[in-house]
Amino acid sequence: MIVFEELVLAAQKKAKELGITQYEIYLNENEEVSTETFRHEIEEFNFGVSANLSVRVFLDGKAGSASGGLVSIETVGTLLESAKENLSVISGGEKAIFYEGGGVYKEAASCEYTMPSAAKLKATALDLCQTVYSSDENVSDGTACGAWAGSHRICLYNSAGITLKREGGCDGIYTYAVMANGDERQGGMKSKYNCLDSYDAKELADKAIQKAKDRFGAEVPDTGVYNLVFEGRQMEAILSAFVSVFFGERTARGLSPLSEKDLETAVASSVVTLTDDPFMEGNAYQISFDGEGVPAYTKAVVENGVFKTFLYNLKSADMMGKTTTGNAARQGSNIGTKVFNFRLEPGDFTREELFQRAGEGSIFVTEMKGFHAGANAVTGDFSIESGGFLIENGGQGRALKSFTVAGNFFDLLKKITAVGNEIEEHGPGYTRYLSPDVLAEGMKVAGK
Amino acid sequence: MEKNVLYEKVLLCATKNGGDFGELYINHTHQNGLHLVDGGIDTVSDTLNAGAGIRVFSGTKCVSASTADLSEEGLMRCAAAIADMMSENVKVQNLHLTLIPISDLHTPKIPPEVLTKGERAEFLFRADKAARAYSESVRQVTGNLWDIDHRIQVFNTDGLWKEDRQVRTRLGLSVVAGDGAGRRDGFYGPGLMCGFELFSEYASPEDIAAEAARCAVAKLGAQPCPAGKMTVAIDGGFGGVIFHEACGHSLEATSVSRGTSQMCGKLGLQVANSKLTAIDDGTIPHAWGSINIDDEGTPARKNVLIENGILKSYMIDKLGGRRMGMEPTGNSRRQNFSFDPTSRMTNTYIAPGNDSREDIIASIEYGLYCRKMGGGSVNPINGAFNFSVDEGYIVREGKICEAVTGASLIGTGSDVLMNIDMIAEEVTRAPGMCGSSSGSLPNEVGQPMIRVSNITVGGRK
Repeated sequence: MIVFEELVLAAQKKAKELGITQYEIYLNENEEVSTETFRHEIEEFNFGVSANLSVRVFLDGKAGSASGGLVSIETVGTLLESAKENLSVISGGEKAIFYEGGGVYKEAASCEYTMPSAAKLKATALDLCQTVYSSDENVSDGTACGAWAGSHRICLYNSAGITLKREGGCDGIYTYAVMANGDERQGGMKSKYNCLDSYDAKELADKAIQKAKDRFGAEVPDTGVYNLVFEGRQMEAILSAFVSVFFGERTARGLSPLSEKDLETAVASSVVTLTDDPFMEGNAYQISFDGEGVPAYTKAVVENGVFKTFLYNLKSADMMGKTTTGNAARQGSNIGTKVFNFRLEPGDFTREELFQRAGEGSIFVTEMKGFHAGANAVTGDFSIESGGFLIENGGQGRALKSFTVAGNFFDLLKKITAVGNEIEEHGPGYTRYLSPDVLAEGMKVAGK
Repeated sequence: MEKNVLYEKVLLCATKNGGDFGELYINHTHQNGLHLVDGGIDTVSDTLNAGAGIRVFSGTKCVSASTADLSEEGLMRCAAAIADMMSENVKVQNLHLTLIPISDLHTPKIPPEVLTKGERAEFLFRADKAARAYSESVRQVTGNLWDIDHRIQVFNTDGLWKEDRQVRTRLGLSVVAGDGAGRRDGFYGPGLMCGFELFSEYASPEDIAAEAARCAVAKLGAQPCPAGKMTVAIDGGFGGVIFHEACGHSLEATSVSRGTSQMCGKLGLQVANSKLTAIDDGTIPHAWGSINIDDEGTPARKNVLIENGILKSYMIDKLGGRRMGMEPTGNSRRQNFSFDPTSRMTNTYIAPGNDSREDIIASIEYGLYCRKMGGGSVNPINGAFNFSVDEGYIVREGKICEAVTGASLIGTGSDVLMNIDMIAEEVTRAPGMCGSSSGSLPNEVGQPMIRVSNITVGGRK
């Protein structure tokens, strides 16, 4: 493993040579192991080690940057030289801000992790595979079971004397069951996290198989206006597609439907509260700093339907005359805006109660695909291929397929009349979207 | 130690505990990016990605490992990690790597190293100026200029040693136009496997700006698209994403070899309207998705996938080929060393037909004309696909009428391929990035204007 302190020393020496006084280096290292079955055997096993070292230098209100996957004492110097050269091309009007420190960091929960052996991962995947195939005679080709583990380390240093580190890891298992019914085939997926010593293979297999079976014989609904109950996972996908409307930089550039005049106004139904929480309980990947080293903290973005704040990094906050909210994202040496645990806060209703409020003939939406193309964060419009179930006799009824749900993100937020009381299990992550089921009334559906 | 001797040592180490085939892939990729917003360059990125991926096959099983450490120690550690996972009787006995020269169909005339970053920025400034001059309603212009110098080396235990350099350049421009009623965006982003001659020989920054701005301004005042089943005309260029999503992914060995594609077992059968012929061709000079060799060293080639509606070929990588009992087709691709390669499309398009564009529009009593498409996705198991309409217009009584917004098209591959019942004469192609298990890769899609007689249009109205 690379000793980060040695990179820092090399950077300090090179920066002095180049006459740079404000700079930052950021190291991201990852190790991943995964294995997957096909039919009854382990067919693929992968092991990978990767790293990225990025630097930013600050001079006269500009920031130059460079990054690379080769991490060594030599490359940190080369990257500083490139970053200084790149700085000369920057011509944007906004000032780049160097973080001078002074913030207070809340302690994140411990995330120590020891990578499991390859043999354990293979044995787990095979156990899952045997369980799935023995659970139902209609399990067919395409079924895959897998186990994976990953560990990572993030280190940030800036010349104001800030050194921040975070490391951790996790593992997971999954079963993707493909079921055959005559010519029709459907797949169902179930995953669990950090459970290599305590998983229930039968429970996982049965759930994946049932999920696939539930999809058989799906019909296309009539085109019309429906009350929709979005499964939590689907509402999370919607939040992920449109979260950038809350980013200060997008607004400052005229790339969001929201503007400063929308602050403290109702942008959603009063049952909607959206929170960004870096320290969410149950997430092993809590982190106390953002991509610029600024302390992270919990904040309500929308509270009871009222828009409370944009999300900022140092530069976008400066552009709008605000203070950073500690939401800087880091992609190599590029700085953007991110969320940590972006959560639609749970309400009071069970899924069954949401079905009852939606009414007979409403739709339970359990599958939405193609947000990368079908959602426009500049306008808020979306039109998304979906699947789900008719709500019949107060519960999940016949399967539905091949319809679109279309609307506008803010119209949708205003049409949410009830929120479920439970958020499903999620794997750990530095950016996660979380939502219970929600009921939205009067949504446009295109089918037959 | 000579590099080829080192790589022989690495491959023999990776296969020492068994395996009938071993492969070492190395990439050095230098990517530059300039981002323009508000008339200025606000980000310059300069990224080097380099590393090695090693795979060992035993029959249809595969063990792989990757590392960013290209030192002898790093490569041998990576090879040993694979050997530790193997326990097979079949072993590679001897190895002598021989460099096999390849012919380069895509040599850049103005390679990335020729221009300074300041000179590159000028292309963005020209585009920004032209877009703002297009209309007073233009509110924002953002642009990305990328150049990628991707050098690959492939070695395997058959003695193969091939090297290739792939240089790609692209300018993507987004324009936001606004009026009292709202704002709309337009995008145009031509890219080719070439150097900076992109701007002097193929599309000037001013051309790119004009098209992006035209698209944004044309959509001002557009009303929500009606929903329901319709007859749809889809124009060329990125309209070709319909074949890419509705059928192309289902023809990749990635899903076919595992029996999870709707196209399994259908070679020689009619899978599309008899008017339709579709091709994947990685050899088109300077096309965005072209390659001289694939990431296993197999030369790129022109594969006729569907001919007059009959399924003729799949797209196959080495491992998929083993599982299917078929030969590789030059379609094995990976984003970089950290992804295992698999079968992927290159430049995929629907071949010219015999109908005129005018006849296609005139034939539609009521429907949708999709001038520009966005991206999409597909589930290869059942062929269910979706893609978004970036610029669409209602067609009434054979005439293109008002612009509509927020539309998407959904369906299943098997249905839509049968429903493509008119195909115009001239193919146009457009670049895109396709994401799949072996990473994000440059692909071209293309087609002439086509008519789909019946497809679900998703809209808000």
